[in-house]
Amino acid sequence: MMLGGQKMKMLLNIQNLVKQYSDGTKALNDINLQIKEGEFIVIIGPSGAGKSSLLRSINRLIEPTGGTINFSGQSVEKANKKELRFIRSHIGMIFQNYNLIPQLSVLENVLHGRLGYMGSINGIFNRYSEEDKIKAIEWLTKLGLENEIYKRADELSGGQKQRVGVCRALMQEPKLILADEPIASLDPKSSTAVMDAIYHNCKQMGIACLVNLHQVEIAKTYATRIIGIKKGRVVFDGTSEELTDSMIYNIYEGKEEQMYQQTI
Amino acid sequence: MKNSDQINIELESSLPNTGKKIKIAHKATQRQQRLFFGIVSLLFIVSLFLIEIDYQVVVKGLERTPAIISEMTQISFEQFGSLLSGMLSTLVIALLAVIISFIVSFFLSFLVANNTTPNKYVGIFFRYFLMVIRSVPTPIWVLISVASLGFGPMAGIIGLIFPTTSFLVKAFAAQIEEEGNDVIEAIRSVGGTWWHVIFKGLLPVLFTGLISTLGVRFELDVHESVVLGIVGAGGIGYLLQSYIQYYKFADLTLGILIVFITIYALELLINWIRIRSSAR
Amino acid sequence: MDKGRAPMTLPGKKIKRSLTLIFFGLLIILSMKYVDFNVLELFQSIPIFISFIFTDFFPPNFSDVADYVKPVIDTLFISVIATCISSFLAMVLAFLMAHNTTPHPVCRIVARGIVTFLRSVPFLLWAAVLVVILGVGPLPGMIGLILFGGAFLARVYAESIEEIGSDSLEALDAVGATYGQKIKHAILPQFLPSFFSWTLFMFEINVRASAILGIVGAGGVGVLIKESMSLFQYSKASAVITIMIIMILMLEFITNRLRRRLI
Repeated sequence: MMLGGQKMKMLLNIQNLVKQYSDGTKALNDINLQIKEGEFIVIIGPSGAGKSSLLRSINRLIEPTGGTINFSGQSVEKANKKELRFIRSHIGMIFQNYNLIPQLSVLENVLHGRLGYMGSINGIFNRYSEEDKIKAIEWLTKLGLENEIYKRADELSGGQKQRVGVCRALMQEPKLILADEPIASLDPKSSTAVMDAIYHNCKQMGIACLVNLHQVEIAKTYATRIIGIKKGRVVFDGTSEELTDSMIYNIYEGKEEQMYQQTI
Repeated sequence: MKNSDQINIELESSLPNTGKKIKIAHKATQRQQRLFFGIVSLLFIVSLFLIEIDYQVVVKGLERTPAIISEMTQISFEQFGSLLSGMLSTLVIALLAVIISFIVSFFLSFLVANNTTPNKYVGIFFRYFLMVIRSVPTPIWVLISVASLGFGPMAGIIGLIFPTTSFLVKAFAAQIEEEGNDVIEAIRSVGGTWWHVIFKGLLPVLFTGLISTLGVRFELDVHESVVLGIVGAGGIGYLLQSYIQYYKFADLTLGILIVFITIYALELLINWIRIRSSAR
Repeated sequence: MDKGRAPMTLPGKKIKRSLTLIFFGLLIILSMKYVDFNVLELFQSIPIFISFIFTDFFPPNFSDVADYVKPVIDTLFISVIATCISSFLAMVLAFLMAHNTTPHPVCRIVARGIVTFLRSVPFLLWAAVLVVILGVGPLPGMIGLILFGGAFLARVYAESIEEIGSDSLEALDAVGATYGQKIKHAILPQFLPSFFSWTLFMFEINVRASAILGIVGAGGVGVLIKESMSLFQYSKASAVITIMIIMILMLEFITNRLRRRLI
């Protein structure tokens, strides 16, 4: 991984991104953003500001209505089915509600991370390679879940489930991880465990990271670059030192209580 | 958090099936599923072998099919009037049966539900009694009632009352047991009598659930009511049976269409009522 | 303190309620006129009905029990085959019908249309028509059950599939999974509990249904009942009915235990 002094490659280039719904509301109103490989970025802002829409537009879970998104040299908004599958397999996602399959084992859930790389038939018949299975078990062990591997996903606590979600994302060996409010439903101890897991592993493997958080203090702890979103626009893009209290109040104008809430 | 080398060593010594493929599924769930599908497949294959089907008759029948189908597609509206009034009779029979059953089962269900019954043994007695009634399929009830009362709508209505009542009591009692406890406690604690508990407490709370169940049962009864006619209890089924017997396929097609449209329209109507009554 | 009595319900509601009651009252009265229903007749008929059962149907005549074994087993076999085939067909249709798994909106509309038509026609009617085409025997009954049962299952399967939260589908989308992979890994595991529940339920219904298919000549125990009743041999008929009751109750018991273990 290249460090200091040398220019890091541009990974994600978002230009003039707009998302407008049929009733006229604009979730995203002209977003411009560039992200380099390996950057760890936290996006802050009140709920409804567009953080979630922004993340979901990057891997096209939401269809943008205007603008361009370029991921690693490929156009996301113009990608056809096959190209989109390729792009998505290189972007990992972590969800607020963990989004695991409750009836399947923890190991099976993590292995889903490889489905994007496997042919349809192979994926349907669970034909994961032994190396994949060993890698999955390694990840789970690294995140402290070695005793949970064969348990059903619905037998786990919230913090454990989210760590499974992190493993699933890491199994994709992605270039970018999108985390949408990963700790919103967790207690402080689990929150720390999950944020640490995301931060350390992304740094170690050179994975760029975009994390949505509404807790400003936690944002400042982990991020070197913070982006503030308000009403669908980027209103702040800088280091955590540059994020003054008055800037914070500006971003959360009208919804100040959300800055400190542990859960929404 | 451990590093790669440590993990590899532990894995090799702890994996129960070194050399074989690593398992990934949750054992108990997988076992359950395999057991279910295994037994079912076995039963299926056995049944397939032991069922005696006279293939010659089938082949003959298949040969006749194209002719029958072309006859069926020539719909004739000749019998439209009598079919319509037959369908109406069928609906009416179902409606009356459901209403009478509702009145009876309303009170019976409070006897059967274990949180509202005045006497435990009476409740249990009725519960099992109704279970036996429920295991006799509806057409058989109607056969019996036709044999005892002669043909006609009365036989149909009475025949329908037995299975309908037993179904309604089971469903109502289940609802009372599941959702009634809080209300019963509340009204009891302010000193209400039995009557109060039922009419001021349970009825409002369980109302939408009861109506929903009634709607479902009414639809079912219309289905059964159509069939009744085939057994001789009045309604459109009787006409349809005669068309089948005398190979009047064109009229039959119209009849089937009328049945289909009526039942479907009824389903939409009941859905609409259900949505409106719960939105309140 | 004011003297007037406060109304217990809002006036608007009260009017609505009264109107609804009047409407139903009218409906009932018109219905009774249409089929010449007489409440007095009802109260007279019930004793006749009940005494008929106790005189003619009791005691049941079990002299020919050995002849009944084969039809009973036939009934069970018909149900097993019909349930298996219809549940398989229903799954295919259900995936086409549910809005979160349908590959194309047109598929959805066509599938819904077929299913609605098939399940809005009583299955005994299907069986009766098929008997004319395919002759007497278990086959028309089985096909009738498959048509109706398949449509019923398709609908309830589709409803269960639609109830599956979109979260897990979202996750697999984000991972880059294909349509087939999404169905296998996200939908199927969450659908299985409902699948077991409804399929067992359908099996129960099919057993009861195959018991009466015989009335229109489509095989099973129903044939015996029809025969004995048309010959006025009511005590023999009640023997068959008793056996039927025992069979149905036993099956209900077994499926209840199974259902508890699978969910």
